[in-house]
Amino acid sequence: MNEDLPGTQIFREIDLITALEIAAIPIVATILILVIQRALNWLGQRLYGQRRLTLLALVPLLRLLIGISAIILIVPLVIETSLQNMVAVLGTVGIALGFALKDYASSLIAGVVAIGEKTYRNGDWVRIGDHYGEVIHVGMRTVELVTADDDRIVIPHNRLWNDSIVNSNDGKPRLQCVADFYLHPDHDADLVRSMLKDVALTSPYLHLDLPVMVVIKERPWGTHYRLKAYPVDSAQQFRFVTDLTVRGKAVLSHQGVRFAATTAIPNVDATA
Amino acid sequence: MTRSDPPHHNPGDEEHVPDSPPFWSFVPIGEYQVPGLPTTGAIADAWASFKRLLRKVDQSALQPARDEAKLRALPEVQLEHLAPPIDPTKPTDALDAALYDWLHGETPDWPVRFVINQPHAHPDLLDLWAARHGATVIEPPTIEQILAGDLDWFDQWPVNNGAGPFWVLPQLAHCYLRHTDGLKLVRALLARADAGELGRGVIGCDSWAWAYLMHIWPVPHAGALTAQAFDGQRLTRLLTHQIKRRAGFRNAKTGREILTVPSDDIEVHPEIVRLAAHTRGNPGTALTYWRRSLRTEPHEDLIETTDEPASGDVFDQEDVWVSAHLNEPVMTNEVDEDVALVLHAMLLHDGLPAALLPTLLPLTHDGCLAILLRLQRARLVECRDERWIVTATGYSSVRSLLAGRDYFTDGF
Repeated sequence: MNEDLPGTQIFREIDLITALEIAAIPIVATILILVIQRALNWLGQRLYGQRRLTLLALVPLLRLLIGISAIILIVPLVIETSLQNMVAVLGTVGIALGFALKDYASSLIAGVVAIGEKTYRNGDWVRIGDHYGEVIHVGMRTVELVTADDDRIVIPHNRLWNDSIVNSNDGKPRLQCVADFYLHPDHDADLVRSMLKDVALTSPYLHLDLPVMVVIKERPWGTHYRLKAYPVDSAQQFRFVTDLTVRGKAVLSHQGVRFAATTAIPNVDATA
Repeated sequence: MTRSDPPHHNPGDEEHVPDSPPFWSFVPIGEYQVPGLPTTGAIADAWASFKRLLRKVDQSALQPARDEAKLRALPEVQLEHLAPPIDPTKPTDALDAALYDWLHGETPDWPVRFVINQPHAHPDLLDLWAARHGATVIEPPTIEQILAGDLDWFDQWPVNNGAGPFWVLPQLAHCYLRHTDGLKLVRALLARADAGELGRGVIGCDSWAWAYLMHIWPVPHAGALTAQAFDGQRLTRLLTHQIKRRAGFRNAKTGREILTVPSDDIEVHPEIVRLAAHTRGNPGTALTYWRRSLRTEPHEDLIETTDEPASGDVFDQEDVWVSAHLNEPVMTNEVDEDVALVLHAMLLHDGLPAALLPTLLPLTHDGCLAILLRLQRARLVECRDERWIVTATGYSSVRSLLAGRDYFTDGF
């Protein structure tokens, strides 16, 4: 008797045409995602600066939109759309995912949050845990980094819930670099500061429109100088720091400035 | 005489068409106005850039059109008549006008005036201007003097307390190096010059070097002057005012007339506007493009060209074909970073000797040499007076490349 009541039938009857439609939608969506992914990544590799980062950041967003659109198109073909039916189906799916694929579902949701909150985007330089690298792909479940050593690291999005994410450029082409110099305390700090500023100003990698700073801190073993500046492109950061270090050491040595010779900071607990 | 009236060195040159802008004028660098591009030209340029991005170089832009293939480049003799080099007296007159108050004032606002020029815009301008006024020309320091920060270089300055003859330093760009040891001398120079310790003088500087030095010596120089951009109208006058015979310049592809001599100076052809925009108002590079684009029928180069018409003031119009495409070397987007570093260093120093590149850049001598030779073959750089410089026709491409990659550029 209940079978005749309207609203109790959740699933639609699926004929051949509907089945083909249901099959075609994910296929088209997948092809569309692959084409967009490849095209935007290919184009992004040929651009520089903000244009590159903006274009690459579109990739996960478009993929998410296409995925949601595909689901929105498929659901009415399979389910009789009513509030009760939707609550029933989504509730069931939710419970199933929650128990059986908890971590997977958590990563998927974290992936959506990462795209929405722009925690990291393609082209950003991020540190997640011990890993530092450039984001090359923000997938549904994972984010992929390439490190300075050309290692590819895949990290699930659900690290977002518990770990802090350090984003060095946050969607912008500018990224601050720091070159460290450890000097013997007996020297003219003002002279060293101006010399280090010139080291940055004469680096061919320097982005001149952003400030150059020298931060000095006195330590028990000597003086720690941190030369902070921005390279033209974030991808140049390692070459930039290397250039600053090489030329900084040369100019300091030339001026007779001695470097700190302490090999390690004494362990307070051990000496106590 | 007012500030806008140039001194009369050659009265025959002082005639101006009423209501037309001055042919050459020097303005504060903040007032430089880069010429705009007509909409169709902007779309065409954007499309060409996009195709270059896709590595599909427009072959039609590199090769002459079918009709143009039959035409030949203009012989040098004809070029001298139809597209002669810039007459240096015109910019010198204009600079005289711009500096008139400063030159003749008893208490000028600035002890030193700066004249900023874009690459290839008006070389040797300050040498000529100094000769005209009997000013002492200061030679730039040697590389060794720059790196040693040798203050003895200042000994060549004339003793001048503001009343006597003044001095001219035509090439400030050759007085420094982007090196940790290469800034001391130029800082001392700018400090002494701004403080008035060197007396009255004029310093010329390349626009790229100027932009860099303003970061090294961040003192505002509101009185720095530059030649106003050559927009379509100014460029039309630049290209026509020295031609002594009737001439018509036609697009080789369409046959439409681009320029006529004598020119009415009212209507400016869109192709001239496009050339002005492409060269960002730089008269030197615009003229180089123009000279390279002129074509003639194959048999015409056999005809002897004379300086004067055969008889009378009225003679037949000479038709010259103008290539439909800008004949410039194209840089692909695939250029690696080292090439960009070399080009940038060359522009910041207004040309560099090859031996200095490894001192200024984290590159080896062989690597720099290989890059220079590659760029030379691509007609993007050339060696002139032992300095490697970016060519006039390569300048636009190089500037676009560096700007596209966020490298520091000049203010023009």
